[in-house]
Amino acid sequence: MFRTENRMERRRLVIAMYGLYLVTFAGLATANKTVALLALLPAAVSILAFVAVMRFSRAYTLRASPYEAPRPDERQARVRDFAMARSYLILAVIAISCSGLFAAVADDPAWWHAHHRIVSTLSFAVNFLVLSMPEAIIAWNEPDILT
Amino acid sequence: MATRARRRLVVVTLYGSFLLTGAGTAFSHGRLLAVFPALVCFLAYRGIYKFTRRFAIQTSRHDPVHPDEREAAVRDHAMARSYLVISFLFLLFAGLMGTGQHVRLTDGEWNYVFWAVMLLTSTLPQSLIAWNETDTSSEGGE
Repeated sequence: MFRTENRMERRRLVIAMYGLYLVTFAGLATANKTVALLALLPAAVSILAFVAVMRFSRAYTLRASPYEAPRPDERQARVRDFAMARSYLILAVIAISCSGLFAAVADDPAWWHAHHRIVSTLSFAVNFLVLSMPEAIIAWNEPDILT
Repeated sequence: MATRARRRLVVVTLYGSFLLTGAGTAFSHGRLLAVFPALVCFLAYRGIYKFTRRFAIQTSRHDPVHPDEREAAVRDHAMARSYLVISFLFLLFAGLMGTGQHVRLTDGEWNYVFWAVMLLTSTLPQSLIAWNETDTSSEGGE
């Protein structure tokens, strides 16, 4: 369904994956149930894009067990580590920002009560980012696969 | 910092003194008890930073220090492992929020969490490198 040999196609997949998830989480963050249900439609498309990105990056065996073949070669292992290193920098900025924000509003229970839904939705959004970022970076950067 | 054993001691000192700093601020009536472990923590951080400087984790593009290929690979591998640790903590927090378990902490506790996150994210790759690298002195070989 999605072609991943071409780098431009893969970049469109990554944009679609995160863009549609942004729409999904914006919809889920509202208190309106109809909007929240409608937001699941773009989620379905972005899940397909997510699966395609994961399948492409699978060769780098980000989460394969040591007993599973094939193992990544030296170049793929370097690419994997580079992608995870870049993801780490992004995640560190998010972690510091979130903990700083929570420290700033900790003494205001009304803030938590008013924003609990948004915080919960954001935590799942970051969760998705954590699970997909290295693979998305690999899919974004790898050159075209010539067949 | 030439031998691995000494570097591992510094890494343990870094995180141990940070925990002691938190305990000092939580249990002491003044904050004086926390000053000494905080100072030790800072010194340990400086030591680890000096050792891992050549791996260029925090180097700007204009810095004359450039890692060679092996050092760049070690750096990226350490950051990849650090990514797994930080992402696990994120998933844990998201799980708590998702199950409705509100993370209720006081203002002081959230401040401590903030500084813990700052310390962890800024030292984890360096600590892994300092922990794993082989002895660098000619006398202390494996």
